[in-house]
Amino acid sequence: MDSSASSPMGMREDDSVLVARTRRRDQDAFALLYDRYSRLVYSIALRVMRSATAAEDILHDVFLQLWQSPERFDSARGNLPSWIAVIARNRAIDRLRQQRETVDPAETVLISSVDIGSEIELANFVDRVREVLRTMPDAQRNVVEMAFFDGKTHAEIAAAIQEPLGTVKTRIRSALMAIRKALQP
Amino acid sequence: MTNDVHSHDVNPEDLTLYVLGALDGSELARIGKHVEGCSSCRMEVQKINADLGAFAMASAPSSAPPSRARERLLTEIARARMQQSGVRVRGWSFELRAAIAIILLVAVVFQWRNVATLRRENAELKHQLAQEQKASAQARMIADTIMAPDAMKLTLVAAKAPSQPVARVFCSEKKGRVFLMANNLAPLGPGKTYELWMLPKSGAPVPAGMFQADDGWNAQMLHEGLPAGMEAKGFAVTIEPEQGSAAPTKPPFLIGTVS
Repeated sequence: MDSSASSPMGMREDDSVLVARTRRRDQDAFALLYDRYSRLVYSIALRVMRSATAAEDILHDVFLQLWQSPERFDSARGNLPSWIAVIARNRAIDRLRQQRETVDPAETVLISSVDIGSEIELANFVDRVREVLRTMPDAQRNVVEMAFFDGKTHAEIAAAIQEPLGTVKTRIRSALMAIRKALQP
Repeated sequence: MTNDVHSHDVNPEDLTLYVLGALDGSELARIGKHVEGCSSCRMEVQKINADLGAFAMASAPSSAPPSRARERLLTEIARARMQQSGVRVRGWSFELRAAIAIILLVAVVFQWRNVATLRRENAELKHQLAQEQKASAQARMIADTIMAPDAMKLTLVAAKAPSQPVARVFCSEKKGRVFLMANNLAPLGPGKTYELWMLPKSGAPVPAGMFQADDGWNAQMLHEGLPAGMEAKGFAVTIEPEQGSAAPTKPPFLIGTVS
C-alpha cells in the first residue's frame, strides 16, 4: 500500500478531506486517493484472483465505484483503507464465485475506533495487526485466509482441514476478536 | 451486543461467517433477514468489517498495480465527465433532433412508397416479359415447323373441288421484307417465271421477287428490298419472262388485298 500520496504542497491531506473533494467531482483529490490506496486494493485483488489481469479489473471497478458513489464511505465511522480493503475483497470474491450468493459489496459499512490521519498512524495500525497475526497459531490464521481470500464456505474449510464446523467458526471469530482487541485504544 | 445476538438466535460466530459470505444459501438468507431488522447486529457487522479490513491490510502481499491502470481509470472518468457536461447541449438541441427524426420518417415513407411502386412495375414487366417469351416461343415453333426439311406442305380445299393455285404472303413494310408460300402452282415452261408484285396504296406495282414452283407444285420465296415505309394495299402474282419485268406485263394470276 502506498500511503505517501500527498498534495502538491507536500502536506498529506486527510482521507476524509479527499473523499469530500471527490464528492464535489474533484479529480485531483480522487487521483490522490488512488495513488494512496491503489496498491492496497490491487494487492488484495491479486491475492484473491491470482491473476494480474483480473486484479487490474477489480482495481478499476473499486475505484470507479468510489468515484461514482463516494458518499457510500462514511468517514465519521471508519477509516478509508479498511473500508476499501473490504470492498476490494468482496468484489473479488464475487467475481471469483459469481454463482454463490454473497453480501452485496455496495452495502459494505464498517465502524472502527481507529483513526488513521497520517502515514505514521497508518503504518502503526498495520504493524499492530501484523504482530497479532505473527503470534497467532497458523491453524487459526489459515482458516481466516481461506474464508477471506479464497472465498471458501465454513463447510468447505471444515472439509479441507478435516475439523468440525464448530472449530472452524470459533477459530475465525477468535482471530478477528484478537485483531479487534489489539486495535482498541 | 452479544446478548442481543443470542436473544435473536444469531450467534457472533455465524454473524462473522455471514459477513465473510462463508455461509450456505439458507443460513445466509436467514441471518441477512435478521440483520436487516436488528440494529445491534448491524453494528456488529460493521465492526467485523473493520476487523476484516485490518486483516486484509496486514495480510495481502504488497504488489504495485501497473501504471496503465491509473491512466485507464482517470481517462474513463474524464470521458464520463465530458459526456455529463454534454447533457445541456443535448437539451437545447431537442428541436433539431425532432426535425431530424421527422425528416428521417418522411424519407422512410417516401422510400417505402418508391419500393411499392418499383415492386408493382417489376410485376408488370415480369408479366409482359412472360407474354413476349410465350409469343416468341410460339413463333419459333411455327418457323421450325414450316422450315423443317421434312415439312409437308399441304393445302386443304373442299373435297370435290379441283385444286386451285393459292399463295400466302407475309409482309413487313417497316423491314421492307416479304415472304411468300404458294401451293398448287403448275410448273411453268422454259423462259417463264412467276413474279410477285406489291400493290401500293398509290402508284404503280412494285416488283417483289421471282420464284418457280417445285416438283410438288409448291413454292417459297423471301424477298428483301421493298421500299421502306411504303404501304401496301395488296399483292399480286403474274407470269413474266424468266428475267422478270419492271412492270407487270400480264394480268394478275393471283391477287389479294388487305382487308
